[in-house]
Amino acid sequence: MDNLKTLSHSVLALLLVLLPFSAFCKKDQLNLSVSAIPAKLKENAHAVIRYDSTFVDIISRSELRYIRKYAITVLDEEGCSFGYLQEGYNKLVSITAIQGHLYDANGKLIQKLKKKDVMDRSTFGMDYTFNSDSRIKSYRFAYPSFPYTVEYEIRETIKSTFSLPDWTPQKSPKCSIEKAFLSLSYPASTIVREKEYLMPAQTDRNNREIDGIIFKTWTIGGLSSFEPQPFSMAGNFNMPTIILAANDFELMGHNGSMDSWKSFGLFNYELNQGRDSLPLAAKNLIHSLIKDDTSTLQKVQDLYAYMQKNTRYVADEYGISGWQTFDANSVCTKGYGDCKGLTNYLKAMLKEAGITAYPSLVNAGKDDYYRIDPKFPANTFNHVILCIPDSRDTIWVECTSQQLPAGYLGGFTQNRFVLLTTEQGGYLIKTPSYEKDKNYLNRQVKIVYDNKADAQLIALQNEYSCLMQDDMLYLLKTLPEDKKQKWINQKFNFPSYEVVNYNYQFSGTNKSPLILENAKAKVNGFIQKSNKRTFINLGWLPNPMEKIIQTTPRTKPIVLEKDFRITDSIILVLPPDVTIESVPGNTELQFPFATFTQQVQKQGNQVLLTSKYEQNAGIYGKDDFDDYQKMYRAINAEKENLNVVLSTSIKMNQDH
Amino acid sequence: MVRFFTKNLFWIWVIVFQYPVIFLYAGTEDIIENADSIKAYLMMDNFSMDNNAEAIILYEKGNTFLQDNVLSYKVERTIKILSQNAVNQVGTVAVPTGSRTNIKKVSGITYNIENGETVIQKIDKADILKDKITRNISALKFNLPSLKAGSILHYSFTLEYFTFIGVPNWNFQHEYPVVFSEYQTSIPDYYIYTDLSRTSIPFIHVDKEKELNGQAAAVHVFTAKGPGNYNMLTTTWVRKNIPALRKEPFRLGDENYLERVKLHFTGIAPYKGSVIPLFKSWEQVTEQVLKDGDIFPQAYAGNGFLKDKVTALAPAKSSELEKATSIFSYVRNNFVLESNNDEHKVNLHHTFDTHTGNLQELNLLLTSMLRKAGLNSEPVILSTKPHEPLNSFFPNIQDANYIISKVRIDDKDYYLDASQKYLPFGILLPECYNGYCRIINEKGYSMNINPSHLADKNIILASLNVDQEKEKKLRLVMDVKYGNMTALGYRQIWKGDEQKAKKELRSLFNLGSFQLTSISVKNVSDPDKSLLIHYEAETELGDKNIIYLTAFFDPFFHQNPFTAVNRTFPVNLEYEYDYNYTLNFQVPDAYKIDEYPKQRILKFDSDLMYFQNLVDINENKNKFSLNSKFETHTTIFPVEEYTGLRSFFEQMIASQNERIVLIKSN
Repeated sequence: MDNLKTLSHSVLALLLVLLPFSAFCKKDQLNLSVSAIPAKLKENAHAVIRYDSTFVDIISRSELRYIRKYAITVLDEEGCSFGYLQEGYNKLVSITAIQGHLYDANGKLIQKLKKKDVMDRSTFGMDYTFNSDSRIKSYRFAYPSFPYTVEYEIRETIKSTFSLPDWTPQKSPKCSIEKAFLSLSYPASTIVREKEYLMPAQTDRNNREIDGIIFKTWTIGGLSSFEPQPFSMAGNFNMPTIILAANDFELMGHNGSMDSWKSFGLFNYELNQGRDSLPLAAKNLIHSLIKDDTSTLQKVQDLYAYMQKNTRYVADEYGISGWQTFDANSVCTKGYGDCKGLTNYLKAMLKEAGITAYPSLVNAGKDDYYRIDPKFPANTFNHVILCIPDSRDTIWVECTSQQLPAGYLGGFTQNRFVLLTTEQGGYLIKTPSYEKDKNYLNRQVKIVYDNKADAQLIALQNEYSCLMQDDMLYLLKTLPEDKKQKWINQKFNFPSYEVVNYNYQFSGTNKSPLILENAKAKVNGFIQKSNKRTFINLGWLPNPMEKIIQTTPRTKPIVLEKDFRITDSIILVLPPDVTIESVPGNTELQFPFATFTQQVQKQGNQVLLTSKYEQNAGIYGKDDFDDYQKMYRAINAEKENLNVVLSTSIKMNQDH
Repeated sequence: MVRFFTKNLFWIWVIVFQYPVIFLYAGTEDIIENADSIKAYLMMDNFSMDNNAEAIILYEKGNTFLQDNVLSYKVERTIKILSQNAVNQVGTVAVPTGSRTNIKKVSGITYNIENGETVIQKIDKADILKDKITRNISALKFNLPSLKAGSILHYSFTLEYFTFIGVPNWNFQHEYPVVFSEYQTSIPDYYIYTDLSRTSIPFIHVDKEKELNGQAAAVHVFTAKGPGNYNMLTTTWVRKNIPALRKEPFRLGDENYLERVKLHFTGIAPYKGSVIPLFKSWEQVTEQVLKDGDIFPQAYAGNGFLKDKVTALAPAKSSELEKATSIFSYVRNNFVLESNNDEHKVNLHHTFDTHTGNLQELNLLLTSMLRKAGLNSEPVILSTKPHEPLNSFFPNIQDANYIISKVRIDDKDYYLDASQKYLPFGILLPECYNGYCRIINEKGYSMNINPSHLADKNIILASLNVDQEKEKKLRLVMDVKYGNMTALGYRQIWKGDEQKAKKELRSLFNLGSFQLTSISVKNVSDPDKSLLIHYEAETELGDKNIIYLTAFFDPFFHQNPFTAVNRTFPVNLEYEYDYNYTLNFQVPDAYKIDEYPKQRILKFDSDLMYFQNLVDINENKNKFSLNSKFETHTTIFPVEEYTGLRSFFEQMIASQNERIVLIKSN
């Protein structure tokens, strides 16, 4: 009975769903000649999506059919990659059919995709996953002259509704869209949510219910390609997107709900429950490791340090392991695991120590602050970290790192929403962000000018705090001495130099780590002597602002994600008998998003240059963009003029 | 009969090897069979042979046994881990295999010390996984358990191939230092293999197997009666205390330096005293691919289908060079390289009809068309960087991974590659300039294509004037003409997109107070013409009494490319540099030049590297001009010259940082 219903459902769905689509095709879509593309859509575009129709047909909580049929005209070499087919699949997603056609500029069929030429490969070696069930089918048509058009049809059966496909028809700002269409259908007895982002004003939406099935369609068209505006992403996406989520879903035999963050968190909690038993020896070890600790932070730090030393990151994401952790016992015994496994292992160790901890799902990545939409519960996570509530302050731990201190999250997961998974369900909370007083770089440089030497000895004393030390921490904690030496001889901006000695100290606290760098370098090329003058250039410290290149007028806000401060001081000690011809002037630049001050003082035979740049995180209007550019250029111009000029001619005259 | 590997097939392997894993590494019978020695090594945390080592290969042994056309290859290694980095690098083992390869007897063990006791943990059978990567390539993969800094790991596996050619080569040297490395081959005497070894110490031939142990590099050969009507020849190489092979910039690929032994199949001896040489010489190999192969003969075939096109492209009355450039441009511009199509049978007629083909098809088609036009053109095979060049004594066509076309006009050879859209006539990709190559023709000549054939000639012309309209502004106009190699690099990124080019050039433009007012790019997609960039920029002149100006608006180097103070390997440049910069400066009326960059000539290694700054000042007209040049006339600098080379760059950069000083006149 159930089967029959499903069958009739899908036949009906297909018929109904194809109705609007065939109407949509009839007019002009079957004409794939390039001349049919409106001129506006070819402007600055490298490829034109002639049509893209996607059908998401949800049959039950454990099955959906996915069909995508689309044609893309490739206009030039830069657009080639949009014509390549690349489709991932795995244990849950099976590709049931692939068809492909190649048309010339006149829309004449040239070639059909041959099944035997479709490349099929495992994703092993393409990323850092050791083992998984994900594979890729790919195909490329080759055609000697532009433009040409490729058309593909892919049919898939997906045995889960845990993650529904997203719809982002404009794959890149380099493509324009002639027409795109999404159809979503599902039984009226279930709840499937959708959310639109940045959809064009002229979106055509349809919504009806026939025979207990809900059909929704979206049609958009005439979207031009555009120049991306860097630092402008303030929302979840930067192109028209619809995301979908099924309130009641199934994942490999596990039923769950995501009608709220609470229920979705509960599902994740229950899926991973009861996997925290440890061998007896490990339990005894835990107690001996923390026997002298008085605070929760100390205990967490000691157990975390033990785990960091004794485990490594190995991701086995095969099948359900992609979502459910390996049990703590096996991670403990084998000494490796993925983010879930290592997080669960530390959680289990903490439990033995009497400390409660909650795995927290996160969308990790240095630039993915806004990926989670707090108002739309869905499976949009790619990583997990551990949250340990403490009476004074919450302790966050990145379990896949072998270097970080307990309590500090680097740029990978800081300052964003995460889903705490607890026995009471999920809670959406934010990870810590680092303000200027924590997120800073402080450089002190001392140069004692020796006018008889070619190379000058420069002493550097630098402090890197919080996010400023992220990349360095990893290198310093992992590189052997010879590689460290190579690295330090490349990291500074001097024209040519050799570091003669250096040392690093790790200081600060667990929650805001700090690296102290002490280095002495022999530097060439920043002092030029002529007959009359000596130029000492002090402009080799890099501009603290990011260079943003945009050639079209700014229409979007400028988004600065981080608060930070960079302070520099350069002390130049001159021989007593020199005459200073000129020193750089003072500068002060002030904008809502940042301030920059630079001061130069002469004190006896010393020149002291100090500068401070402070950036205020925030979303600023498009008009601030010009100021940002102005400020960037002003600081660059300053760098060029950062010369202390000594006059040697006077001295020569005196000598004579 | 001989399979020709193209670059793209190689690509799949690269992906497999790029997995952050060192496949093939295991241990020593000596150490793991002796509990005391294991314990002693577990307690060690420092090895005097290399204080920077993150791991030490204590023992490794390879064994190839060939019998009844089954080649069995056993590998085992024991590694002491010294850093957490090494845990991640060697703890995961992945062994790529072909579709017809059996993999057997896989084992992995970790040794740790806990409370003063040695703890042994074996890998679970269930944790040894197989991954079918593509139709033809699989991988066996596993993780050693409970690894940490201090652990010792041991693993071994045996691969079984159904073949009698292709006895594996053996590297004695790795990214980590090696204490002991042994390779043994046992081959029936009716197969003739020749070996070629490269070690820092020559192998000593010893008479008795046990004498191997006393030597740092020794080889022992032993013949015994085999099971059938033949003898087995067993050769054992032993090499001890080999330092790690470290990376350096401006260095040739690892293959060129690794200590190793290569084995080469050269013939068969069906019965005593008879030898049928098979791959004895390149001449023989060439003859074979032309006689029995079905690929190269197509370049020499009549190919009547080309006649009309060739006649149209290269009319009889045009010169040979005109004919060649016309045909070359036609193939390069109108044919597309199929990157995922190496499996099909080569058919030039089909290539010509569809205008698509892989590397060998396109360059063989080019050769064939040039020949059809009556020109002296031949295909050339080579091995690209970072691989070793083809070996002149070791003819192995499988070492060749690239094919080009050569045409000889008026006693001059031109090297052509029509598969790359942005290569001009007569220029190859930089990785092709890798020395020894073979011409596939009846006589089978060799030739060398060296980076010294290739100079990257960049010309920069800058002029600085007071703006005619806006008098308070100083205006910079700069024209840059890029050399072949720099232009190739840009064109491959820009892919004919002028907007992209401009955007990137804008982002690279950084001249302090000078603000870019316009930029234009010419010939982005036409490699036969020079890539030209035109910049215009301006800055406020202001009203200062003294102005300091840069004289080098596009310095040859901003930072010294030779950052390391010490050097282990010779410096190899990809091509010869040739930079030329001229500045013409009409000094504003209100100012006069007080100082300018010093006239200077730097020479290194006689004239092999040369830098000059020449200045000319005309005080009457208040004009200043400067010409700066940098040229290299070699691409190789021995280690002993490194300090001098580094200092040469240091001085050149310092010289280009010198300023012009203007002071207000009167």
